[in-house]
Amino acid sequence: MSTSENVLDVRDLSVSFNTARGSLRALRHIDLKVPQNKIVGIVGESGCGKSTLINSLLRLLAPNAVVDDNSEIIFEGEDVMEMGKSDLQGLRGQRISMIFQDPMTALNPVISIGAQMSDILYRQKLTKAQKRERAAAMLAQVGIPDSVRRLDDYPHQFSGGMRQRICIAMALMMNPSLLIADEPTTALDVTLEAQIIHLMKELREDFECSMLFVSHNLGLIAELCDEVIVMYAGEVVEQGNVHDLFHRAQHPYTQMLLECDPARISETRKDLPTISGSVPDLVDLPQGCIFSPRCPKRYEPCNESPPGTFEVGGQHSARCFKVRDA
Amino acid sequence: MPDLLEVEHLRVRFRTAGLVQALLKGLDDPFIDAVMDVSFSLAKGETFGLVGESGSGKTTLGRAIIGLVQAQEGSIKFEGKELVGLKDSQYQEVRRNIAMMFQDPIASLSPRKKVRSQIAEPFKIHNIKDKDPDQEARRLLKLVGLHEGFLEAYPHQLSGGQARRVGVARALSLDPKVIIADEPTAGLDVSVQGEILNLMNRLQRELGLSYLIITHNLPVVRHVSDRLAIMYLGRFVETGTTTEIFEKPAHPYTLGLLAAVPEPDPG
Ligand SMILES: Nc1ncnc2c1ncn2[C@@H]1O[C@H](COP(=O)(O)OP(=O)(O)O)[C@@H](O)[C@H]1O
Ligand code: SF4
Ligand SMILES: [Mg+2]
Repeated sequence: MSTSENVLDVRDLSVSFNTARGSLRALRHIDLKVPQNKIVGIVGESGCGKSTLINSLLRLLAPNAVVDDNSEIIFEGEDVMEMGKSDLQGLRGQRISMIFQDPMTALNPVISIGAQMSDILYRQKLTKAQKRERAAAMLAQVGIPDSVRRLDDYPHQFSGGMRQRICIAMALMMNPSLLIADEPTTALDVTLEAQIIHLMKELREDFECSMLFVSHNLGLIAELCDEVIVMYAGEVVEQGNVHDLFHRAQHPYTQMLLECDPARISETRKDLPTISGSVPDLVDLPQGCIFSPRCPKRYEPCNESPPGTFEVGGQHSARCFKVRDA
Repeated sequence: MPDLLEVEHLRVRFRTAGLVQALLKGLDDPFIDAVMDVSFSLAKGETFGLVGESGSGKTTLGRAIIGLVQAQEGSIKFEGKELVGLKDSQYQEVRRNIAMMFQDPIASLSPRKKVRSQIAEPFKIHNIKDKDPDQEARRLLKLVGLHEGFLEAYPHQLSGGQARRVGVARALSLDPKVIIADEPTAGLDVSVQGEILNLMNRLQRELGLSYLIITHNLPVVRHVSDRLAIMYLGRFVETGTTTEIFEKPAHPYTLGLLAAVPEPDPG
């Protein structure tokens, strides 16, 4: 696939953090692509490296982070790793927008919604009235009723679900090429969550924007995403289209994650499946496969060296010796 | 024999505006009903799930049962004894038997106290001298599947699942008969959710505990509850066995809630 079809193309990204205990290898050899107009879901449990990945894309890593020299992050044909200060400013918040779990991370409590939205357009040669008009139209588009009048309201005058809608409107104001949503509905009740997901589906038709959707909720990934990336302890262990991932998962970790989800178990029973053991220490990695200490399917090659990425078929691949030996 | 816990026609009101403000604004009723005409019972060894969205009154109901907010009407009986109207000092005894597990375990643990003192704290609060707090802390940690090394850990050094286990240990410290668990799995990874629910189930079998589980997570409550109530704007709109509610939901609000749960299958 050529880069022009992919808004984002991450190749062999490795990131470590210097810590008192030694080098913590938070991301190892990450490859991922976000094709034009597609929604790519990232699933993974806490500590798997989702935030480190997003921060790498925006070059917002903590000062103790070290990015491996081989790493490439190609965004619309440009290498983010090579970008200077002003390019990075254009990238953050304009070419790439973010939606967070807590809408208040993005909203200023003491500035009216209309003023915050107009501020986003500071680079554009529009009159104040035109900016307000754009803001009101955008609010209407994300389903805020009476949008013109509500421009003068402050964040606390909106409910949680409405605030998240406003954040989505703000994220779309600059017409970004990539929208990154980091657990955008985790703080919401299920009915509000369903409404926001429905809104995101609608918007994707209208805005032709590609999206990276981070969530640990498998149900949301299944409903919204075209492609799915499964991360475990700093590696992409499996990726493919949403049907391959949910119906033909190959990596033992993906398979177990699907089995654990209470929403996928229809019979009422009292003991739920779990993944025994815990995530390995990223300062002291196992010699073989990263999942081997917890893997029920482990066999001889697994303890010797880490598996590479093996094709299952088409765009579906998994980092597991079982796929190679199948 | 009466049930362990019996709640009848319970009503909890909160004042929304001061009296002067209410007069100025011409409000007839400066109160809201956080809990309205709620009745249910909990038997020994049973798990009752209380499902509703934020603001529906679930947490207020839980707090009313352990006497942290006052009930205006109705009755709460524990082992046949009326709790509504008890003085705070009389409620202390009740709180030994009905323990509360709070929503966010890391936030509800004091950041500067080691696990050892978090778990032993209830012995201090209740002025219990006939037990060695240190020995008890060790026993409780073992019961929830954590090794002794955790006694010296601070809350920020715990993973989400470990912090939940400490929360369970603390709730168990005074040998309660009922545990009210507010969102016991919120914010946990899927694989860890199962561990905590399985732990709670094992403790229920071993210790004969009864649970009142407060949650907005329908898939979770389906696997652990014997019976359910669906709460909306302070009222129970539907109650029944878990199977009845999932298979034949009657109230439109219940139907809406069930329909909103995302289907973990792309089709
Ligand atoms: N600034 C940092 N210094 C040291 N370790 C870090 C830092 N930021 C993240 N980590 C570690 O990197 C790993 C990945 O973390 P993170 O990207 O936050 O995961 P996620 O967002 O998936 O929960 C974790 O082991 C975490 O403790
Ligand atoms: S490589 Fe081996 S240990 Fe790793 S996931 Fe596959 S079977 Fe399990
Ligand atoms: Mg994160």
